Amino acid sequence: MSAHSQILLTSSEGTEFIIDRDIADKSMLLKCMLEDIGEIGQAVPLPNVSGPILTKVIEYCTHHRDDPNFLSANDDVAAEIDEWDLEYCKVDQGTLYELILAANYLDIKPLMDLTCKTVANMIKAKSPEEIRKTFNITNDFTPEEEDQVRRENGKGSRRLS
Amino acid sequence: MCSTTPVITDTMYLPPELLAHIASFLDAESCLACVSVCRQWNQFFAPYLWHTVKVSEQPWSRLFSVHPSSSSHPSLPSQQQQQLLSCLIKKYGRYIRVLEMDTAWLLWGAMIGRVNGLLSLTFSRPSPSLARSDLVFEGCQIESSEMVPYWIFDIQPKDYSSPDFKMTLACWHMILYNRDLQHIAFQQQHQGLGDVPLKVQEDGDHVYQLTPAGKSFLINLLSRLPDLQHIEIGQNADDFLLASLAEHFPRVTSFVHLGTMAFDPSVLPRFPGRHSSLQSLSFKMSDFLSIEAEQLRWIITAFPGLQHLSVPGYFSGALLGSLGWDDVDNGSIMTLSVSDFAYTTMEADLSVFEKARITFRGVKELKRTGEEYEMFGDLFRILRFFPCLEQFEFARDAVFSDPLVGGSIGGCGGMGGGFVDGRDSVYRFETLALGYEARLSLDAIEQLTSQSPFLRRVTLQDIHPAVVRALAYSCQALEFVHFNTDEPCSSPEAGYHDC
Repeated sequence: MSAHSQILLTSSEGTEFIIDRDIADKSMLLKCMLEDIGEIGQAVPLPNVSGPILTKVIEYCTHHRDDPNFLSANDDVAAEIDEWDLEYCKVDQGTLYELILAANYLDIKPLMDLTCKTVANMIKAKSPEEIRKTFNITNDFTPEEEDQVRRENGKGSRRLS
Repeated sequence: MCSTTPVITDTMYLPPELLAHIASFLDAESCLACVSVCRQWNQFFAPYLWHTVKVSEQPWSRLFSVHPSSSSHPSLPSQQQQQLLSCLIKKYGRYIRVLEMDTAWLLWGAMIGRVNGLLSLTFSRPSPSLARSDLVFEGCQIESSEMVPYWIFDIQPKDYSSPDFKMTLACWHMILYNRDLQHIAFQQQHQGLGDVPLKVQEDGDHVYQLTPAGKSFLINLLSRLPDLQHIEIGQNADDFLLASLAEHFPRVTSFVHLGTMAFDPSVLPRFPGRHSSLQSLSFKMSDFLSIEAEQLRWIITAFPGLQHLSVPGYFSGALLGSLGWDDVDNGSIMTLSVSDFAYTTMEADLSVFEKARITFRGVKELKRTGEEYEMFGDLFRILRFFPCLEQFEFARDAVFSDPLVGGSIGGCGGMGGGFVDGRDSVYRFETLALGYEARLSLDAIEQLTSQSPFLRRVTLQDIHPAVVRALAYSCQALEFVHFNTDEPCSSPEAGYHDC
């Protein structure tokens, strides 16, 4: 396989993307597919990924192109996210979810870990009310249930200050 | 989905397997907040929150603390608190997989029969602030017991109602209800499955004894756990369990012996069945006792696959001698931990090495866990008996008397037989790192470095011309020298020498 060969991808809207083979190989889905059927010279359709999201995914894979620890980088759950990755994840929530879905679909574990970790960090050290605000979630507990939940949290019936 | 997609307002938009991935990055405290967000989140996050329950850690200590304000006067929880605890366990107990709790904890009663998916069960030391007494818990009393009959214990009927005895029964019941257990650990010496103290009295603990029937009951109970890998059961049960490993527990890979008294091989079968799956064996008895040669011989014969062995007390010549017996193969042991080297280095014991012509051909890591004073010079003399040693660790706070040193020495892979005692010794270490707390006299560093021609990496505390000279003069293979110095005007943090 040539290191310089290129792969053609089409996003859900039919936009075409040309990327280098080594970038495509960051996705286990594409890697396995290309290994199995070879490079057929036709576009690989990605009906689950939109153009803007595919652009973001390619940006990530390109940045980590020569990263020797690509696959083991996020094994440490507590590890800090590096600066570039942190900046990369500064997107609106909708984009972030779509990135998670795309990373899952394309099977790019480090991107999946990064985006899920980012969501986890949006949850950490917040009160339930703050989490609701962050994710725009309606509190659908009945007052009795809520009281129950509060007691189960070891907070009695006091409000979290 | 194009870029004009409306803002997605609910994380539930993500499929469960991806939410699970997010949950895997959350700590228990965050999961606790998540279950209070909304009904969907409550259902989704509860199993993650309850997967690991360590009663001494947040948020569990907060959730389960009974009387945080009156730690000096532990008392029973109020009716209300009992109800809440009972309700929590009823609702979420089935999610618990890893449970670490106090044997003297009143939640026991509520957990029996409701917590049944455990993979790991650890009984940690009881916290004095918690009420230990009554196991009578609403809707769950351990009274008459057909599953664990009283007659297996050597106990008087008048003691049937004692809280400690109930606790013992509770422990046994917990195991009965959790067939998937892989890991069982009683981390305290006087409480275990086979021995729960009757009362702590001025003249010491009164301990329940297991009758012979009790022993077979225990073996029966544990051998019904098909996935059991780690056993750490308790003083009275240790010896006979260890002896029956080969016969009844072929898949157990790790065993911890908690006994406070020296392990007695005479109670064990003379020719034990060989049990090759055991990889790790640890004795946690008092440092003042030592395993005798005969005992160790039994262990090494019985467990040919042993890789990690931790023994208490001193590293006696007899112990070493037994490891080196010609007819005993010890090649599989890679890590050997002992708590006290002091006696090891006495002349008499060293002569045992000589006679036995010992080599620990498999040992790569030697650990010292005690805090006694050591003779530094003698310490080095042991090393020649470990030709494959890669790592030699001693406790961080170890103090060596002459000269004083602390730190770690590693990478002496090719040490071979070229290790000579005394002033003319040639040390074959490749790495010498003296830790922050290390106090090594100048003379000693000079001597050490001048006798270590194979040194490649050195980390020292201070810079001194004599040491640098010794390094440059004798260490031809030197690649890297690092000085951890606080003095502002000396050389920078790291210095390189290419010799």
